[in-house]
Order: sequence, then structure tokens, then C-alpha cells
Amino acid sequence: MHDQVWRTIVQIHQYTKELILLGEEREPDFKSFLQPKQEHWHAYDHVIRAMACEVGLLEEVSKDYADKHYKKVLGHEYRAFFDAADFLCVKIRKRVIEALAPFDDIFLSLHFPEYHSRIRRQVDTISKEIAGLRGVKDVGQDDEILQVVARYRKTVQKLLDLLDEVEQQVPVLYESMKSIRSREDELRRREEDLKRKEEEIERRMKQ
Amino acid sequence: MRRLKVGDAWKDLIDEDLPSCAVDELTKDTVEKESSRFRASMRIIKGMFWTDREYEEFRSRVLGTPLP
Repeated sequence: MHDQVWRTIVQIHQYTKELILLGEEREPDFKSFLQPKQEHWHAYDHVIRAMACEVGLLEEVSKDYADKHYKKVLGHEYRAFFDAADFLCVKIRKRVIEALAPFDDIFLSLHFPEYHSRIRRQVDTISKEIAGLRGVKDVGQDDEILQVVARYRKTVQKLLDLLDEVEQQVPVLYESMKSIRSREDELRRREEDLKRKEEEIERRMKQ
Repeated sequence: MRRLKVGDAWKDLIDEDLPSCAVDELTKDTVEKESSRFRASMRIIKGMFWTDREYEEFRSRVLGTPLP
């Protein structure tokens, strides 16, 4: 009785739940994001319709009535997944922007070269790709939905790994900035000393 | 628009879609005002949730900000 479609629904639902929890964990103001839950609300209504048919409560319906509603369930679950994925990706992008804001481009190129060569491009591409998919209403073929969702679940995991890389590097960057500043201070002090000594020599020579 | 009555056969309603529920400032105010009458998570009772407009503005701002 629709075992395959239920397998797909359960997996997408669990993936979405995982992303909702991760997104809320990364929410500094502890605000809930209700939009995916609305999609679940609509999905539940279609489950009830399909089940009403399957358990024999509806007699005068077309043969494909349950199939039609399971397809709608998949559509709502798919959109809930991309709403949750989008929320998490926006949070990650914001965190990357905030974490690296104190450092300029040249400093980052010198002290965190992987950021410009790899991380920046990947964070940008992934967050914009998932943002684009959120707006797509057509969910595609039933047998492709799970593959698409599983692929994007991995992509979101990749984005989380990139954020970890950035966050691990931030204390190192602050240390480098601190040591550069102390070296600059030291150089400035030496220059001032040198200038004072030159002035002293000049003054003596005049005397 | 069809006017529903209590006592309508549920089978007649089965293909009616649930109303879509916008999460907006009014929802937030109502939830906070009426929270003592309903059970919900603490975040929701305190109005700590993103409205559609807040989220769309935040999202556009973050996606529109170039990465460093």
C-alpha cells in the first residue's frame, strides 16, 4: 500500500526536521521559523485525504485519488525541505560575513588563502543555488525527488563544513592581526627612535 | 463562496484546501495577546518567530551582501 511513496515521504520529512533543528540552533535570537511547518500542515491534510481513500471511507472517487494526494504530499514535503535548507544557508552565509568582516581582502589572501581560492566561491554558489530552488514550485518526477533532496542535504552539510573551516580560522586570523599590529608598533617606535637620534646628531653637529 | 455549516458531511469537505496562513505582524500580536488560552512552545507564545516579511527582508539583505 504505497510503501515506496511512504519511504520517500518519511526520509524527506526527517531530513527537513534535521535542517529545522540545525537552523534553530544557529539562531542567535532563538526565533522559530514557521514556514516549513506550514508546508507540513498542508502535507498532513493531503495524507488524510489519501488515507481516507485507502481505508475505504471514500467510495466515489477516481482510481488515482490516493496517488494524486500522495504526489501533493511529496510536493509539500519537498518545499518544506527547501524552506528549511534556505533558512539554514542564509544563517550560514550571514555568519561567514560577520566572522570575516574585520579583515580586509589583502589580509585574507595572505593569511587565509583557501578562503578566496575555494571557500568563498563555494559558499556563494551553494547559498544562491538553494535560494533559487526554494522558489521552484515544480517538484519534478516522483522518483527523482528523494535523489534531489538527498543531494542538497549533502550540499547543506558541505556548507556547514565550510563554516566550520572559517570559524576555526577566525581566532588564528585575530592572532595574526594582533602580531602584525604589534610588529607595526615596534617598527614605528624604532623609526621614532632613529629620527630622534638623527635630530640629536644634527643638533650636535651644528653646535 | 461556499458557506459551511456545522453538520455538513465531512466527505463533502474532504477536497477543500486548508486556508493558507500568513505569518505576519497581526499573527504575532494575536499569538502574544491570546497566548494564555492556547498551548504552544515558549518561543511561539512569546512571539519569537519570523514573520514572512521579516524573513524575506533579512534573506534579501544577507543574499545581497557580497562575501568578504
